[in-house]
Amino acid sequence: MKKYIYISFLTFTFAIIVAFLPKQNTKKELSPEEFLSKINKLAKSIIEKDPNIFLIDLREKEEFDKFSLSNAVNIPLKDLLKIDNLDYLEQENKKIVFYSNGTTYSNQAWTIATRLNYKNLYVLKGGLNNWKKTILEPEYPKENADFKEFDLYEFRMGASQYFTGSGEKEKAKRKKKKVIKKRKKKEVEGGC
Amino acid sequence: MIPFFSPQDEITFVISFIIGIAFGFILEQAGFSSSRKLAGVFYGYDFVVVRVFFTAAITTMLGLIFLNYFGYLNFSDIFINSTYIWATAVGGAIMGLGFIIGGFCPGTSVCALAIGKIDAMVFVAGIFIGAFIFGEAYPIFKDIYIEGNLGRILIYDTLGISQGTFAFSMILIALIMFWGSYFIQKKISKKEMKY
Repeated sequence: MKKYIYISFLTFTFAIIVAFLPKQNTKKELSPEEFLSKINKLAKSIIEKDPNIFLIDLREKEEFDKFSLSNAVNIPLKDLLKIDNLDYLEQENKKIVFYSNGTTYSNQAWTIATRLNYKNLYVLKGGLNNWKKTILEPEYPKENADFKEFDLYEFRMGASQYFTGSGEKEKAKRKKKKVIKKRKKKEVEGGC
Repeated sequence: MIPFFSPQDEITFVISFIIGIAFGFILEQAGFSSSRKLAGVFYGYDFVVVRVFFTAAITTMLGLIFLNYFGYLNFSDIFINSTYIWATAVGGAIMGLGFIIGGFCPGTSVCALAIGKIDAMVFVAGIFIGAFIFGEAYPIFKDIYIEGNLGRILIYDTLGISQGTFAFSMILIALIMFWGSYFIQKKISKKEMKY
């Protein structure tokens, strides 16, 4: 009994310390949702071929071949740490967006890459599942909905046509396109 | 994922292995390989499970907060899985049912299996059968599985309170729970002795 009272007292002391602990400024934390909470914005960026976005598809190759976002590069999660693939993460002034079907793979890739000190990393919120639901199969707004919602619907329908209708051409084009890889600078090696 | 090492270090496998062994050993030592003890929490005669889990939670919480405060650990280095609200709710209900029927949770069943308990063997076989059924019938469950993704959310952000306040209330709840369960257990044990 005495032991329990002692432990409780100690724990309570810790509780008070924690409650009044000033907030520690950690390194700038990039929230995966920070940028891509606006999924429409991404759709727009892709259609307009925004050069500031670099998409990485973390799914397996078969899935990637079936459907993928334009200009995306396929790096299955298990191959992310291969040296050739790590070079892709060295993008200057580009936003790297990880995506997979859900968000588990992309969150894992985000965490791994962040810990390896790569910058400008983002995750596609909700993954391709959400993408399919919001962009490819948008719901028609209710009759009493705001004008903005109708605009949004129009845009999504347009985007949907872009992503599904001209899919084949896109694929053909993509194959030709070569993504510029930036090689990591080699460290100066010693010796003669 | 161990935040103190780079994911490229092979030593992380060794550390994971050691932590795994230690985890299993402590679970067994705390009596978690006994389904009677585990189910006791539902009947009110044994609260060790709740106590151990709460102790683990507040110890980890205090450890993380202090390590972060002294600059040894960056919170963004910790992998947090996305919250799928419906899948979590349904899965939680199934897991709770399985817990009270089978007397184990998935982790403790493996722990009990390791010391050769027959009921645990049956339980683990059940886990595999369940996983197989889920895998085969995935198209049926798919909608609920991927629906309601809330992303990387944290309780104190959702409630709109500071991390410190949340930690404080969590410890307070744990202390109330410790003492509450102590008295309930005393009362129920006494009652049982009369029969």
